[in-house]
Amino acid sequence: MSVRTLEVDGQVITALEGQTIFSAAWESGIHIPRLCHIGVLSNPGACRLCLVEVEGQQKLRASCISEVTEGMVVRTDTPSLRAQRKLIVELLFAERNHICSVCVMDGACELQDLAATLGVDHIRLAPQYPHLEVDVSHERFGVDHNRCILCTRCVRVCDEVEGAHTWDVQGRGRNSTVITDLGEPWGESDTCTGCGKCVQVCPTGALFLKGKTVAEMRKDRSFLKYIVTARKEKLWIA
Amino acid sequence: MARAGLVEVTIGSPLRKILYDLGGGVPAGYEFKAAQTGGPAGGCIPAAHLDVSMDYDSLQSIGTMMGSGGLIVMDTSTCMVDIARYFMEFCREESCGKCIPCRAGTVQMHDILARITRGEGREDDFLMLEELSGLLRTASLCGLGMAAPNPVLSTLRHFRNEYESHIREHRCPAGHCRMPAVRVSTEEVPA
Repeated sequence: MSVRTLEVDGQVITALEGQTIFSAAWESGIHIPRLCHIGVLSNPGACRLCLVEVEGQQKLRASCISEVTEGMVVRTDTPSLRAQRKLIVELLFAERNHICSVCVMDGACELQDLAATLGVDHIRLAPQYPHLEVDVSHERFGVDHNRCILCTRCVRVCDEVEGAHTWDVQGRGRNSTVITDLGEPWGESDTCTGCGKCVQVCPTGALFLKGKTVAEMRKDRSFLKYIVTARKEKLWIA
Repeated sequence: MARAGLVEVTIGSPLRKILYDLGGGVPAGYEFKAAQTGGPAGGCIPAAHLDVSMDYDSLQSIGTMMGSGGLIVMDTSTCMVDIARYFMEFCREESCGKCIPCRAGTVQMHDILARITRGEGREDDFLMLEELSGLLRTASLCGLGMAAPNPVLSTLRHFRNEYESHIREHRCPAGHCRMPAVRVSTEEVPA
Protein backbone atom coordinates (compact mmCIF):
# COMPACT_ATOMS: atom_id res chain seq x y z
CA MET A 1 0.00 0.00 0.00
CA SER A 2 1.46 3.36 -0.94
CA VAL A 3 2.01 6.28 1.35
CA ARG A 4 0.54 9.75 1.05
CA THR A 5 2.02 12.91 2.49
CA LEU A 6 -0.24 15.77 3.46
CA GLU A 7 -0.32 18.86 5.63
CA VAL A 8 -2.78 19.11 8.51
CA ASP A 9 -2.87 22.32 10.55
CA GLY A 10 0.65 23.17 9.42
CA GLN A 11 2.01 19.76 10.39
CA VAL A 12 3.32 17.46 7.66
CA ILE A 13 1.97 13.96 8.23
CA THR A 14 2.02 10.68 6.37
CA ALA A 15 -0.92 8.39 5.80
CA LEU A 16 -1.69 5.22 3.93
CA GLU A 17 -3.49 5.39 0.62
CA GLY A 18 -7.20 5.04 1.25
CA GLN A 19 -6.97 6.29 4.84
CA THR A 20 -9.42 9.00 5.84
CA ILE A 21 -8.30 12.52 6.77
CA PHE A 22 -9.85 11.93 10.20
CA SER A 23 -7.91 8.76 10.92
CA ALA A 24 -4.59 10.10 9.56
CA ALA A 25 -4.95 13.27 11.66
CA TRP A 26 -5.92 11.26 14.74
CA GLU A 27 -2.80 9.09 14.45
CA SER A 28 -0.69 12.23 14.30
CA GLY A 29 -2.25 13.58 17.46
CA ILE A 30 -4.70 15.96 15.80
CA HIS A 31 -8.09 15.09 17.21
CA ILE A 32 -10.90 16.40 15.04
CA PRO A 33 -14.24 16.61 16.94
CA ARG A 34 -16.87 14.04 16.02
CA LEU A 35 -19.95 12.34 17.42
CA CYS A 36 -21.15 9.87 14.80
CA HIS A 37 -17.83 8.36 13.70
CA ILE A 38 -16.42 5.66 15.96
CA GLY A 39 -13.52 3.32 15.39
CA VAL A 40 -14.04 0.69 12.77
CA LEU A 41 -17.77 1.10 12.18
CA SER A 42 -19.06 2.50 8.88
CA ASN A 43 -19.38 6.28 8.67
CA PRO A 44 -22.63 8.04 7.84
CA GLY A 45 -20.82 11.42 7.79
CA ALA A 46 -23.90 12.80 9.50
CA CYS A 47 -22.89 14.79 12.58
CA ARG A 48 -20.97 17.34 10.48
CA LEU A 49 -18.63 18.09 13.38
CA CYS A 50 -15.57 16.68 11.64
CA LEU A 51 -15.92 19.03 8.66
CA VAL A 52 -12.55 20.43 7.64
CA GLU A 53 -11.27 22.96 5.14
CA VAL A 54 -9.19 21.63 2.26
CA GLU A 55 -7.11 24.19 0.38
CA GLY A 56 -8.31 24.72 -3.17
CA GLN A 57 -11.76 23.29 -2.45
CA GLN A 58 -14.76 25.49 -1.95
CA LYS A 59 -16.83 22.99 -0.01
CA LEU A 60 -16.01 21.71 3.44
CA ARG A 61 -15.21 18.01 3.64
CA ALA A 62 -16.39 15.52 6.24
CA SER A 63 -12.98 14.21 7.30
CA CYS A 64 -14.37 10.84 8.48
CA ILE A 65 -15.41 9.90 4.94
CA SER A 66 -12.82 11.78 2.86
CA GLU A 67 -9.68 9.99 1.79
CA VAL A 68 -6.27 11.63 1.93
CA THR A 69 -4.64 12.70 -1.32
CA GLU A 70 -1.00 13.49 -1.97
CA GLY A 71 -0.03 17.03 -1.06
CA MET A 72 -3.45 18.08 0.27
CA VAL A 73 -3.48 20.96 2.75
CA VAL A 74 -6.09 20.53 5.48
CA ARG A 75 -7.19 22.92 8.20
CA THR A 76 -9.16 21.39 11.04
CA ASP A 77 -9.44 24.23 13.55
CA THR A 78 -10.13 27.62 11.98
CA PRO A 79 -12.30 30.26 13.71
CA SER A 80 -15.18 29.63 11.30
CA LEU A 81 -15.03 25.84 11.79
CA ARG A 82 -14.99 26.35 15.54
CA ALA A 83 -18.02 28.69 15.39
CA GLN A 84 -19.83 26.18 13.21
CA ARG A 85 -19.11 23.28 15.59
CA LYS A 86 -20.26 25.36 18.52
CA LEU A 87 -23.57 26.05 16.81
CA ILE A 88 -24.02 22.33 15.99
CA VAL A 89 -23.49 21.46 19.67
CA GLU A 90 -25.96 24.18 20.67
CA LEU A 91 -28.48 22.73 18.22
CA LEU A 92 -28.09 19.32 19.86
CA PHE A 93 -28.53 20.66 23.37
CA ALA A 94 -31.66 22.58 22.35
CA GLU A 95 -33.10 19.65 20.42
CA ARG A 96 -33.75 17.28 23.33
CA ASN A 97 -33.65 17.30 27.10
CA HIS A 98 -29.95 17.12 27.86
CA ILE A 99 -29.78 17.77 31.58
CA CYS A 100 -26.21 16.83 32.54
CA SER A 101 -26.68 17.17 36.28
CA VAL A 102 -29.17 14.29 36.40
CA CYS A 103 -27.58 12.07 33.74
CA VAL A 104 -25.79 8.76 34.28
CA MET A 105 -23.02 9.88 31.94
CA ASP A 106 -22.29 13.21 33.65
CA GLY A 107 -18.52 13.66 33.55
CA ALA A 108 -17.88 11.03 30.87
CA CYS A 109 -20.22 12.11 28.08
CA GLU A 110 -18.87 12.89 24.62
CA LEU A 111 -21.45 15.61 24.00
CA GLN A 112 -20.65 17.25 27.33
CA ASP A 113 -16.89 17.00 26.66
CA LEU A 114 -17.33 18.57 23.25
CA ALA A 115 -19.40 21.41 24.67
CA ALA A 116 -16.70 22.07 27.27
CA THR A 117 -13.90 21.93 24.68
CA LEU A 118 -15.70 24.29 22.31
CA GLY A 119 -16.64 26.69 25.08
CA VAL A 120 -20.40 26.24 24.81
CA ASP A 121 -21.31 27.91 28.10
CA HIS A 122 -24.88 28.77 27.20
CA ILE A 123 -27.42 27.89 24.52
CA ARG A 124 -28.65 30.77 22.37
CA LEU A 125 -31.43 28.68 20.83
CA ALA A 126 -34.91 27.87 22.07
CA PRO A 127 -35.04 24.55 23.91
CA GLN A 128 -37.59 22.27 22.24
CA TYR A 129 -38.48 20.21 25.33
CA PRO A 130 -39.88 17.27 23.33
CA HIS A 131 -41.94 14.66 25.16
CA LEU A 132 -39.86 11.51 24.82
CA GLU A 133 -40.01 8.12 26.41
CA VAL A 134 -37.59 6.24 28.58
CA ASP A 135 -37.70 2.51 27.86
CA VAL A 136 -36.43 0.37 30.72
CA SER A 137 -38.25 -2.79 29.69
CA HIS A 138 -34.96 -4.62 29.06
CA GLU A 139 -33.60 -6.62 31.96
CA ARG A 140 -30.13 -5.03 31.94
CA PHE A 141 -30.26 -1.92 29.76
CA GLY A 142 -32.28 1.22 29.31
CA VAL A 143 -32.79 3.79 26.54
CA ASP A 144 -33.52 7.40 27.36
CA HIS A 145 -34.53 9.15 24.13
CA ASN A 146 -34.13 12.50 25.84
CA ARG A 147 -30.35 12.03 25.67
CA CYS A 148 -30.19 10.59 22.15
CA ILE A 149 -28.41 12.66 19.48
CA LEU A 150 -29.27 10.22 16.64
CA CYS A 151 -25.62 9.46 15.85
CA THR A 152 -26.72 5.90 14.89
CA ARG A 153 -23.66 4.27 16.48
CA CYS A 154 -25.99 1.75 18.18
CA VAL A 155 -27.66 0.95 14.86
CA ARG A 156 -24.31 0.38 13.16
CA VAL A 157 -22.61 -1.62 15.90
CA CYS A 158 -25.64 -3.88 16.25
CA ASP A 159 -25.78 -4.50 12.50
CA GLU A 160 -22.09 -4.54 11.61
CA VAL A 161 -20.48 -6.20 14.63
CA GLU A 162 -23.16 -8.13 16.49
CA GLY A 163 -25.04 -8.95 13.30
CA ALA A 164 -28.42 -8.62 14.99
CA HIS A 165 -29.72 -5.33 13.55
CA THR A 166 -32.05 -4.86 16.48
CA TRP A 167 -31.68 -1.07 16.31
CA ASP A 168 -32.86 1.18 13.54
CA VAL A 169 -34.21 4.68 13.06
CA GLN A 170 -37.91 5.45 12.68
CA GLY A 171 -39.59 8.62 11.52
CA ARG A 172 -37.82 11.51 9.88
CA GLY A 173 -36.53 14.97 10.64
CA ARG A 174 -37.10 16.16 14.17
CA ASN A 175 -39.42 13.22 14.82
CA SER A 176 -36.75 10.56 14.25
CA THR A 177 -35.94 8.21 17.09
CA VAL A 178 -33.95 5.01 17.36
CA ILE A 179 -36.10 1.90 17.80
CA THR A 180 -35.61 -1.74 18.71
CA ASP A 181 -37.11 -4.19 16.23
CA LEU A 182 -40.23 -2.61 14.75
CA GLY A 183 -40.79 -0.25 17.64
CA GLU A 184 -41.45 -2.89 20.29
CA PRO A 185 -40.17 -2.27 23.81
CA TRP A 186 -36.49 -3.28 24.08
CA GLY A 187 -37.32 -5.97 26.60
CA GLU A 188 -39.68 -7.64 24.13
CA SER A 189 -37.25 -7.58 21.20
CA ASP A 190 -36.86 -10.98 19.50
CA THR A 191 -33.58 -10.07 17.83
CA CYS A 192 -31.65 -8.45 20.70
CA THR A 193 -28.94 -10.79 21.97
CA GLY A 194 -28.38 -8.72 25.10
CA CYS A 195 -24.69 -8.20 24.20
CA GLY A 196 -24.69 -4.55 25.27
CA LYS A 197 -22.41 -3.27 22.48
CA CYS A 198 -24.89 -0.50 21.68
CA VAL A 199 -24.70 0.73 25.25
CA GLN A 200 -20.91 0.91 25.13
CA VAL A 201 -20.63 2.85 21.87
CA CYS A 202 -23.38 5.37 22.70
CA PRO A 203 -21.67 8.76 23.13
CA THR A 204 -24.19 10.06 25.65
CA GLY A 205 -26.39 8.71 28.42
CA ALA A 206 -29.10 7.65 25.94
CA LEU A 207 -28.18 3.98 26.27
CA PHE A 208 -27.15 2.91 29.74
CA LEU A 209 -26.66 -0.06 32.00
CA LYS A 210 -29.35 -0.37 34.61
CA GLY A 211 -28.31 0.11 38.19
CA LYS A 212 -26.12 3.13 37.50
CA THR A 213 -27.12 6.26 39.34
CA VAL A 214 -26.26 9.77 38.23
CA ALA A 215 -22.71 10.22 36.87
CA GLU A 216 -21.78 6.58 37.51
CA MET A 217 -21.83 5.27 33.97
CA ARG A 218 -18.50 4.67 32.19
CA LYS A 219 -18.33 3.02 28.81
CA ASP A 220 -15.91 0.34 27.60
CA ARG A 221 -15.21 0.37 23.85
CA SER A 222 -12.27 -2.05 23.85
CA PHE A 223 -14.40 -4.81 22.32
CA LEU A 224 -14.64 -2.90 19.05
CA LYS A 225 -10.93 -3.26 18.36
CA TYR A 226 -10.75 -6.89 19.53
CA ILE A 227 -13.73 -8.25 17.67
CA VAL A 228 -13.19 -6.44 14.40
CA THR A 229 -9.44 -7.15 14.31
CA ALA A 230 -10.04 -10.80 15.17
CA ARG A 231 -12.51 -11.15 12.33
CA LYS A 232 -10.57 -9.24 9.71
CA GLU A 233 -7.03 -10.36 10.51
CA LYS A 234 -7.96 -13.73 12.04
CA LEU A 235 -5.86 -12.56 14.93
CA TRP A 236 -6.79 -12.06 18.55
CA ILE A 237 -5.02 -9.07 20.03
CA ALA A 238 -4.87 -8.81 23.78
CA MET B 1 -51.89 36.43 -11.96
CA ALA B 2 -54.55 36.77 -14.59
CA ARG B 3 -53.45 33.46 -16.11
CA ALA B 4 -51.72 30.86 -13.97
CA GLY B 5 -50.44 27.67 -15.53
CA LEU B 6 -47.61 25.88 -17.21
CA VAL B 7 -45.57 27.67 -19.86
CA GLU B 8 -42.37 26.83 -21.64
CA VAL B 9 -39.97 29.71 -22.22
CA THR B 10 -36.39 29.97 -23.43
CA ILE B 11 -33.74 30.37 -20.78
CA GLY B 12 -32.87 34.03 -20.45
CA SER B 13 -36.42 35.37 -20.87
CA PRO B 14 -37.01 38.39 -18.65
CA LEU B 15 -39.20 37.71 -15.61
CA ARG B 16 -41.41 40.66 -16.55
CA LYS B 17 -42.20 39.12 -19.93
CA ILE B 18 -43.28 35.82 -18.34
CA LEU B 19 -45.46 37.50 -15.75
CA TYR B 20 -47.01 40.30 -17.81
CA ASP B 21 -47.12 38.90 -21.37
CA LEU B 22 -47.66 35.19 -20.77
CA GLY B 23 -49.27 35.40 -17.36
CA GLY B 24 -51.49 38.33 -18.29
CA GLY B 25 -50.14 40.55 -15.54
CA VAL B 26 -51.42 41.29 -12.08
CA PRO B 27 -55.25 41.62 -11.98
CA ALA B 28 -56.77 45.02 -11.25
CA GLY B 29 -56.89 45.90 -7.57
CA TYR B 30 -53.75 43.93 -6.75
CA GLU B 31 -50.17 45.09 -6.62
CA PHE B 32 -47.12 42.97 -7.38
CA LYS B 33 -44.83 42.47 -4.40
CA ALA B 34 -42.55 39.51 -4.97
CA ALA B 35 -41.89 36.48 -7.13
CA GLN B 36 -40.48 33.30 -5.70
CA THR B 37 -38.53 31.16 -8.11
CA GLY B 38 -37.19 27.65 -7.97
CA GLY B 39 -39.61 25.91 -5.62
CA PRO B 40 -39.79 25.98 -1.81
CA ALA B 41 -36.05 26.42 -1.37
CA GLY B 42 -35.74 29.24 -3.87
CA GLY B 43 -35.53 32.93 -3.13
CA CYS B 44 -37.98 35.84 -3.33
CA ILE B 45 -37.39 38.60 -5.89
CA PRO B 46 -38.75 42.14 -5.34
CA ALA B 47 -40.29 44.40 -8.00
CA ALA B 48 -36.95 46.14 -8.49
CA HIS B 49 -35.61 42.98 -10.14
CA LEU B 50 -38.60 42.32 -12.43
CA ASP B 51 -36.36 42.70 -15.47
CA VAL B 52 -33.99 39.96 -14.36
CA SER B 53 -33.14 37.45 -17.04
CA MET B 54 -34.40 34.00 -16.08
CA ASP B 55 -31.14 32.09 -16.31
CA TYR B 56 -28.98 30.26 -13.76
CA ASP B 57 -26.33 32.94 -13.19
CA SER B 58 -28.61 35.99 -13.11
CA LEU B 59 -30.98 34.40 -10.60
CA GLN B 60 -28.10 33.26 -8.42
CA SER B 61 -26.63 36.77 -8.41
CA ILE B 62 -29.81 38.17 -6.81
CA GLY B 63 -30.03 35.42 -4.20
CA THR B 64 -32.40 32.94 -5.75
CA MET B 65 -32.20 30.06 -8.17
CA MET B 66 -33.68 28.35 -11.19
CA GLY B 67 -34.46 25.17 -9.25
CA SER B 68 -37.52 23.41 -10.59
CA GLY B 69 -38.51 26.43 -12.67
CA GLY B 70 -41.50 27.06 -10.43
CA LEU B 71 -42.74 30.63 -10.11
CA ILE B 72 -44.98 31.91 -7.33
CA VAL B 73 -46.19 35.50 -7.54
CA MET B 74 -47.25 37.35 -4.43
CA ASP B 75 -49.12 40.60 -3.99
CA THR B 76 -48.88 43.21 -1.27
CA SER B 77 -51.14 41.29 1.11
CA THR B 78 -48.42 38.66 1.54
CA CYS B 79 -46.09 39.06 4.50
CA MET B 80 -42.53 38.19 3.52
CA VAL B 81 -41.55 37.06 7.02
CA ASP B 82 -44.53 34.74 7.07
CA ILE B 83 -43.71 33.39 3.62
CA ALA B 84 -40.14 32.65 4.80
CA ARG B 85 -41.65 30.89 7.83
CA TYR B 86 -43.98 28.92 5.58
CA PHE B 87 -41.16 27.66 3.35
CA MET B 88 -39.01 26.86 6.39
CA GLU B 89 -41.86 24.78 7.78
CA PHE B 90 -41.88 22.85 4.52
CA CYS B 91 -38.13 22.20 4.74
CA ARG B 92 -38.42 21.21 8.42
CA GLU B 93 -41.04 18.61 7.53
CA GLU B 94 -39.04 17.40 4.52
CA SER B 95 -35.76 17.06 6.42
CA CYS B 96 -34.81 13.39 6.71
CA GLY B 97 -33.08 13.92 10.04
CA LYS B 98 -29.76 12.32 9.21
CA CYS B 99 -27.51 15.37 9.63
CA ILE B 100 -27.74 17.71 12.59
CA PRO B 101 -27.61 21.12 10.81
CA CYS B 102 -30.68 20.40 8.69
CA ARG B 103 -32.63 18.32 11.24
CA ALA B 104 -32.27 20.74 14.14
CA GLY B 105 -31.42 23.93 12.22
CA THR B 106 -34.68 24.04 10.26
CA VAL B 107 -36.57 23.60 13.56
CA GLN B 108 -34.77 26.56 15.14
CA MET B 109 -35.07 28.79 12.09
CA HIS B 110 -38.79 28.07 11.87
CA ASP B 111 -39.16 28.84 15.57
CA ILE B 112 -37.45 32.21 15.22
CA LEU B 113 -39.50 33.17 12.13
CA ALA B 114 -42.74 32.08 13.82
CA ARG B 115 -41.84 34.15 16.86
CA ILE B 116 -41.22 37.22 14.69
CA THR B 117 -44.62 36.83 13.00
CA ARG B 118 -46.22 36.64 16.45
CA GLY B 119 -44.68 39.99 17.30
CA GLU B 120 -42.16 38.49 19.69
CA GLY B 121 -39.07 39.05 17.56
CA ARG B 122 -35.83 40.30 19.05
CA GLU B 123 -33.02 42.37 17.61
CA ASP B 124 -30.56 39.46 17.89
CA ASP B 125 -32.83 37.29 15.72
CA PHE B 126 -31.18 38.83 12.63
CA LEU B 127 -27.78 37.54 13.68
CA MET B 128 -29.03 34.12 14.67
CA LEU B 129 -30.99 33.70 11.42
CA GLU B 130 -27.86 34.61 9.48
CA GLU B 131 -25.64 32.32 11.54
CA LEU B 132 -28.01 29.37 11.19
CA SER B 133 -28.42 30.07 7.47
CA GLY B 134 -24.64 29.96 7.08
CA LEU B 135 -24.41 26.67 8.97
CA LEU B 136 -27.15 25.01 6.92
CA ARG B 137 -25.59 26.21 3.68
CA THR B 138 -22.07 25.04 4.34
CA ALA B 139 -22.48 22.10 6.72
CA SER B 140 -25.60 20.22 5.64
CA LEU B 141 -25.16 16.75 4.21
CA CYS B 142 -27.36 17.23 1.14
CA GLY B 143 -28.97 19.83 -1.06
CA LEU B 144 -32.17 20.09 0.97
CA GLY B 145 -30.41 21.54 3.99
CA MET B 146 -28.04 23.60 1.85
CA ALA B 147 -30.92 25.29 0.04
CA ALA B 148 -33.34 25.55 2.98
CA PRO B 149 -32.09 29.01 4.11
CA ASN B 150 -32.63 30.57 0.63
CA PRO B 151 -36.13 31.96 1.33
CA VAL B 152 -34.85 33.48 4.60
CA LEU B 153 -31.66 34.94 3.15
CA SER B 154 -33.41 36.37 0.09
CA THR B 155 -36.20 37.98 2.12
CA LEU B 156 -33.63 39.32 4.59
CA ARG B 157 -31.81 40.82 1.63
CA HIS B 158 -34.70 42.25 -0.36
CA PHE B 159 -37.38 42.76 2.31
CA ARG B 160 -35.36 43.45 5.44
CA ASN B 161 -37.64 46.37 6.27
CA GLU B 162 -40.50 43.94 6.87
CA TYR B 163 -38.48 42.05 9.44
CA GLU B 164 -37.58 45.38 11.05
CA SER B 165 -41.22 46.46 11.20
CA HIS B 166 -42.22 43.22 12.92
CA ILE B 167 -39.36 43.33 15.41
CA ARG B 168 -38.96 47.04 16.12
CA GLU B 169 -42.42 48.49 15.49
CA HIS B 170 -44.46 45.42 16.30
CA ARG B 171 -46.29 45.81 13.03
CA CYS B 172 -46.86 43.66 9.95
CA PRO B 173 -46.65 45.95 6.86
CA ALA B 174 -48.76 43.50 4.82
CA GLY B 175 -51.43 43.40 7.51
CA HIS B 176 -51.18 39.64 7.58
CA CYS B 177 -49.60 38.74 10.93
CA ARG B 178 -51.76 39.01 14.00
CA MET B 179 -49.98 40.32 17.04
CA PRO B 180 -51.21 41.13 20.53
CA ALA B 181 -52.21 44.77 20.89
CA VAL B 182 -49.81 45.32 23.75
CA ARG B 183 -46.26 44.15 23.38
CA VAL B 184 -45.64 41.27 25.76
CA SER B 185 -42.35 40.81 27.49
CA THR B 186 -40.01 38.62 25.49
CA GLU B 187 -37.58 38.16 28.34
CA GLU B 188 -36.71 34.49 28.61
CA VAL B 189 -35.94 32.64 31.74
CA PRO B 190 -32.30 31.54 31.50
CA ALA B 191 -31.96 27.80 30.93
